[in-house]
Amino acid sequence: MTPALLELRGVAVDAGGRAILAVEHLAIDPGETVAVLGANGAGKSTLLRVAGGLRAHDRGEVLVHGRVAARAEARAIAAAVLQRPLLRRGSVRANVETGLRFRRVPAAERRRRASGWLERLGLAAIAEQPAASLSGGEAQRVSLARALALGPELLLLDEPFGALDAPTRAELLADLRDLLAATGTAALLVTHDRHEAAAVADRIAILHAGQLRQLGATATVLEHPADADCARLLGFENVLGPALAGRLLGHPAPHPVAVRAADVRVAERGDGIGRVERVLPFGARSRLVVVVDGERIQAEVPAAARVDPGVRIDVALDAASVRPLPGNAS
Amino acid sequence: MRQTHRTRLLGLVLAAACLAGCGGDGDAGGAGEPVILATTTSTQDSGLLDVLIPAFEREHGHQVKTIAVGSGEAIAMGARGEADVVLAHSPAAEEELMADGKGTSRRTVMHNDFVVVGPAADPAQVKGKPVADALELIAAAKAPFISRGDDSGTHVFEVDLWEQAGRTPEGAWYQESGQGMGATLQIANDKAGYTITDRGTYLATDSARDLDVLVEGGSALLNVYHVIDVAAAAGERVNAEGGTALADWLVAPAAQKEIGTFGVAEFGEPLFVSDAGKTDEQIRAED
Amino acid sequence: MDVLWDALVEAFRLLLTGDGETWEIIGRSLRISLTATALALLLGLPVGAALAFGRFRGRRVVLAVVNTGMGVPPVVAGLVVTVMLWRSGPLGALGLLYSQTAMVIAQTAIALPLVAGFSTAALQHVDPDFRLQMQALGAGRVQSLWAVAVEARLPLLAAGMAGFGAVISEVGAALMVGGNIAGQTRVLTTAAVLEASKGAFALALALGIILLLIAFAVNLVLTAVQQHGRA
Repeated sequence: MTPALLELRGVAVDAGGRAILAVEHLAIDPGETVAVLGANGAGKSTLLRVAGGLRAHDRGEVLVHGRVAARAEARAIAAAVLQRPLLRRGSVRANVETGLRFRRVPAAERRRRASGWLERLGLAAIAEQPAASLSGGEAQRVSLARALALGPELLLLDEPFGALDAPTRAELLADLRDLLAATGTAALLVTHDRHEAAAVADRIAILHAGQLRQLGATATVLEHPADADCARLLGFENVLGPALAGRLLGHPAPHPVAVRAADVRVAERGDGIGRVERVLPFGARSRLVVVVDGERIQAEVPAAARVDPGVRIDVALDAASVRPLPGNAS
Repeated sequence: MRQTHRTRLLGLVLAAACLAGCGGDGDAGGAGEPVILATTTSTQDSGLLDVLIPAFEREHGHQVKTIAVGSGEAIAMGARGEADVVLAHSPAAEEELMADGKGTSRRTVMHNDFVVVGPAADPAQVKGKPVADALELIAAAKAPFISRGDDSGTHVFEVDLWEQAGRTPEGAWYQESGQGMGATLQIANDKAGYTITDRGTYLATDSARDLDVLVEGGSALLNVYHVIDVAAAAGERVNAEGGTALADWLVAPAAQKEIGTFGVAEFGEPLFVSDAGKTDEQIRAED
Repeated sequence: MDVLWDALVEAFRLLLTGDGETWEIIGRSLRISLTATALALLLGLPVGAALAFGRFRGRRVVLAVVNTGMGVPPVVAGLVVTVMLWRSGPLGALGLLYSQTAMVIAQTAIALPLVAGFSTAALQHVDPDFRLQMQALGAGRVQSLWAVAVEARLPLLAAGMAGFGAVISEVGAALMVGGNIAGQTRVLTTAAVLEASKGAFALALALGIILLLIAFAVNLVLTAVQQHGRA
């Protein structure tokens, strides 16, 4: 079996007396895209930087192609796109050539490779423009071209599209996925947005307070959170205790459950088990915060339903849309 | 990248400036170590050295560094061995230097005289009087008097004169400028005050245009310049040979001739009188 | 007011008639001060980089020392250099006192804290992730530092201009270590002081005006370079 392209074993980073990152095992195979999903402060950027040889770790090993590697070796196989484009002064073309210059690629080849990537990322038209004049989306595109022009085995992306508007982000994500597939480049993408992860990743890892809570194929992880923290990251608005879960399902529930607001069925009824506490408008749909047995549960209804706060309401769940959370299993 | 070319060009220019700046330390860098001549500001200001020193350098191939400071400091430099030859006009301090064994020989070079200058109106009525009387009159009238106040040869001379006149000058009328002779004359000019100056600086300084010479002549106002060869014992790196060469040259006929005629073209009279070979008594007697 | 007008006239007369002595002094002043500034940049930029990016014990102390150094009176630097270089001093054997080299040394000492202090601030103002991003594209330590310096080129050039401004206009140290020797170590500032002490105020002012013109010209060139790279 070919060794993984990059592997983290027992890697830990300490700061202020405690571990801000503690990853038992994470491996990225050649050509695969792994997304690390986590809230702000979970340690995602730290993980990315350790993986890329950009910062030191206090314990554990980083392996490249199966051999324990120094930071320089990790840097040699990777190229990164960080959160902010961080372009240099000069033209778009000059920026795309940045990494190639650092690696002392001869001028002719540099120009050829840069031109190729300018084309593929749709930057040919603005290639000679000064980088300082670009919009956020264009700049991040340049950053992407700059990293890919190096032909790295592993592309590191730190929430690269977070600051962009939705259409631009969607476009760039699609382009990214296509390019990764076409070149067979592996990628490690860290993000707090599950849609971004879903758009490009083969596997998703969930990072919470510096630790990996779950790791698996994208489709599986998205639908089956391992625990309450994972559930929240994956967009399950509700995590209900066993008692309430049992009541709403109609049979005893041994574990807490996660359920999306969209999957909670509600109906106004004078003697309903729940009471609407708040109504949050979300355009075409509204979200209701309902109190049942002292616990809050969120449900989605069409805005046209015009539910008022304070009314009594019935709440029910479908077994099919409910995800039991047995604990910190991965 | 064009920007890189520009940066490189800037770097080259700076490097060139660097190389140019590191060398180029004087033109007459001839044989042997440089000779450090410590002298007074008034000697330097007269312009005499600007004529004498290059001539010496051409003839002897020694590079001379002329450091013009107050008499006190010039002699102190000699005492520490920081200078190789001292040209000053502060007899008491010079004699002390010799007594301490810091100088191998002390020879007369030239003299000029001090004069008392003041406003043409002469409120204290000192014109034509002997200098001791003149100072008494100035003090009595409390007329503005500007002193150098900087321990220079001129200042020491002035203080001595007050002592000989039996007066200690104090009060608002007696002002110490703490500056060179030219600046002091300028102040006296502005305030219509009296001051004691060497004739050479007075003649050469345009800012003294409203001051007239009121008291002159007499051996009390003689200002004699001596040259002292600094002894090798004064300091580790004293260039005794070079210092002596310069001192010898200053008292030799060529330099003495130059000294005797310096200033005639510009001021109509020589600023100095050459005195090599004479003792102080002989000079006084002649005057 | 007469003096000011006379000074202005004299300044242009000296410059335009190609007065030999004046131009010699101008050349010497520029050579010495530009050399000192170049040396201060050569030594000060690495210090600035170390202070901006290094993480070593006592970094804050060194930074405080550098910032204090900016406020040291130049005449103190002159005194220290004099005491080191005079014959009875530790470096007396070099025979450097009263030479242009001594002046370059003193001026470098004056400019160095300014350049180091301002470069530290300049480099620290670049986005901290910038250097990381360069390294994430394959830049080695020196390459990434150079990239940061290029990003900070405007304030870095300002650091150089500050250093140059400080030394071209300095007189106390120049007088002390140079001796103001005609044809050897006389520069615009020391010549101006000499003329002022002789009472020749118009000439002293003229030299001052010339000094301002020279400094202006140099700064004009540097500013053009600095602002051209704004794109």
